[in-house]
Amino acid sequence: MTVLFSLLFLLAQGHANEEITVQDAWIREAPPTVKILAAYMSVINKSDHDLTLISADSPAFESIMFHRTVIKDGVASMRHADQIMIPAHSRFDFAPGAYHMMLMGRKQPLKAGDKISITLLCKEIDSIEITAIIRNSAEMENNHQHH
Amino acid sequence: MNSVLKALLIIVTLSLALITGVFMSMKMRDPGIIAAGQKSAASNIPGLMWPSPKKLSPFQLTDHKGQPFDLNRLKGQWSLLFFGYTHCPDICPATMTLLNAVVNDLVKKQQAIPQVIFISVDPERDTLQHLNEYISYFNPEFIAATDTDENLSTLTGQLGILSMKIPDQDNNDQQKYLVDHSASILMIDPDAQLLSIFSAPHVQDEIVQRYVMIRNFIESAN
Repeated sequence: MTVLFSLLFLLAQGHANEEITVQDAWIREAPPTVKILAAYMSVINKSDHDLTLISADSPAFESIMFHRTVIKDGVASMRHADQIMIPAHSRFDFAPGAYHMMLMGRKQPLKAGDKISITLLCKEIDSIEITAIIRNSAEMENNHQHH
Repeated sequence: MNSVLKALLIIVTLSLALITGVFMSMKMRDPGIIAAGQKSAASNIPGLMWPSPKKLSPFQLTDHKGQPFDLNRLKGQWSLLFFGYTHCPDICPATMTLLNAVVNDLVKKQQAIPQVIFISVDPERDTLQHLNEYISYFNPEFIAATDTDENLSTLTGQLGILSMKIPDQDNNDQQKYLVDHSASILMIDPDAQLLSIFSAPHVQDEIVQRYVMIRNFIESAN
């Protein structure tokens, strides 16, 4: 666990820039046959102006879309979000059951522990390179329970 | 005279005992009285459909090993059912992971575990081989099943499960559609009756608690 946290800390540090920080970027490990995965992260806008994420790209996937899972009257649906606006001095969480990056067309097998680079395109500033770690969500979501 | 009185007294006592006994046994057997007691106990359990659970009627699906998955497979054991599709990246794998955690938690608490069944509402893309690899990733004991849209609807219709194919407006590829679907977990008893619906968002501890409460309640009532 300590190793994981220090790793997260390192990753978080790695994505730091003056205006935006991306923390805890991870991809849920999926059964080997599954080609569509989901990535989660926290984006912190440290600047005095709004920031807009307009797209994402990764060499490990054919394409990436911002999506949001919405549950209405017991029915789950995924809604495509064209862009994600993060107001000045605020934090935006991509989390299970809510906003996520839908990673489509996995190009190679991915296992827990693998690291994938993702480029986030932002309207107002230069693109941001992040590293997302593949995680077995059995451990992840279990930990979230006890927060 | 004395002996006559004695005999009379014995007869009266016996008759009283008989009448009381008959009355007591009538009272015990009166379904109205039992149901009322159970009903108040049941009302303490959130989401328990009691005393009128939904009895399922026959349906015909196929499981990930190619075996028939029908009403009989729900009989004789407790089941948790979830409907989804394998091209669903967020809520489906999260729920299957959670159901695995629920089972592990029940084992840890020395509780009897249910069979867990994932039913794909996307038979077009979810072949049995695909389902086999998908389900064994989460837990080799879990079952995955699907069938034709028509056969699926025989089951989903009874359970109030909705699913709808949504074409992806940004993708012309016919294979790249999404499916809106009910995200509830359904609890089925060993008589194949729907007893409870757990609505999303799902929380592991709540599911474990409710599952144990309902199971204990039903098993003590039988």
